Amino acid sequence: MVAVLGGLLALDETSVAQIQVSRPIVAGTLAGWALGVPLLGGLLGSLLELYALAVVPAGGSRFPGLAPATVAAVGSMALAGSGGAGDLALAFGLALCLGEVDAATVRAVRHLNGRWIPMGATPSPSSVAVAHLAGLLTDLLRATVVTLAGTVVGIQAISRFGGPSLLSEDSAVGIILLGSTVSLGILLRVFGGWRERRTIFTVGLLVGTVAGLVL
Amino acid sequence: MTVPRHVAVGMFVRCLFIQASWSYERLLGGGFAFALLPALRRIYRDDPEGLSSALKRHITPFNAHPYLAGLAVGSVARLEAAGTAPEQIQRFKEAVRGSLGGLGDHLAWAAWRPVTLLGAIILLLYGAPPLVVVVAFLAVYNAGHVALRVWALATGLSHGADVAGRVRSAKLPIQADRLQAMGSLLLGIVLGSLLAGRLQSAVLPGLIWAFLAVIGFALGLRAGHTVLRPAAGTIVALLVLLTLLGAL
Repeated sequence: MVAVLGGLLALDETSVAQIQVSRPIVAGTLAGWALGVPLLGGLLGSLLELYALAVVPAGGSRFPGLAPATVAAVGSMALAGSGGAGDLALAFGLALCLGEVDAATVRAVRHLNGRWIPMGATPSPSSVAVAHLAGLLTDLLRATVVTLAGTVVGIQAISRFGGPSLLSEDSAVGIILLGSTVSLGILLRVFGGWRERRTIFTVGLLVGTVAGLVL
Repeated sequence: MTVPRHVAVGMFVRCLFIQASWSYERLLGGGFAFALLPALRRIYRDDPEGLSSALKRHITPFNAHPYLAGLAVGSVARLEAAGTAPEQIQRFKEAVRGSLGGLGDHLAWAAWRPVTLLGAIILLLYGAPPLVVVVAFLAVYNAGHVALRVWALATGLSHGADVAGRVRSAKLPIQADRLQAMGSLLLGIVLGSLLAGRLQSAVLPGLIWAFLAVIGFALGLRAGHTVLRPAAGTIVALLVLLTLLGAL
């Protein structure tokens, strides 16, 4: 079930609609809900989302695919029966690695898509539709396999190396926060950079800091 | 000849799948032909050779942002229906492909999506249930997303090759700039809230991590996307190191 969920959600990354159910915050929450750990799924998904915010798939850029990675990370934690901060950090790291594996398989599928109808051929309407469907199904299969493999590896890693003594809560949260803030810095640059946005950004920073300390 | 409404609906649905056969050779070209097929079938319904010839012309390399690709699909459908010369249609496709890509990336990927996601993260940070946040995010994001897709296809179908003026009058880059200003405010709120959480712990490790987070933010701001993967690599390396130390 975890693998199929990862495969279906990954279709949204490129092949189908881009309604953003493939975003880590959505994929994590849905996977957590499906596996009976909604809070864990939401937490891991939102932490990965902070990292993924800076990923802008513009032009020909290559970017990590985080839908199967997020589902596999949540699935690994849920199926390994863990929930500590150290395990969470381990699942976060696993998802980052799996995102790169996912991206590599996406590139392979894109090479394969070019072969369904050779360049220069005169296609029939049905061959165009079949090639399109083949691309869709290949993407589904690819993402399902990545999610399945990631979940199996994740369960083994968490079972073997996880546990309450692995990382202190401060270190686990700190490491994840470090990655997230690098991403937020990149995003401010995408939004126009420090010179253009410093006033409004600083207002937000003050509001957020005060709210974070008071609420 | 105009494109009937049911054919336009079929094209819209197919535009949702326009990237399914994305390849390095044709980019969106396969999806472009797939989305255009309902209109081509109608236009060339008594001319199978004309249909094959049109498909061959439209399965060539083409690229655009998926949300705005409908603009080109609609325009080309109108041009084909009007019997415009293939060379002229090809020139039109070549003229719009770059701008539809850049405009869509700027508006959707670099403005609308991060802004709505930052809003969702703020709701989560202040205790909203994850499932409620996700539903709210999807509803708000897709209200804008679907509106953009509908506008793109409808504009293409109604204006043909004269879409440039309509796109200019929609002032999409200005909308993107406003969204990015709002995003900068939300980004500040998220960062402030995260740092406040660390500062609240008031113990040395929390303060050290908060300091490192500020350094990380500055690094990302300074260096941009080139540090994203190295940052991820550093996090994984740190985790592996601490895991191995913990296992010893």
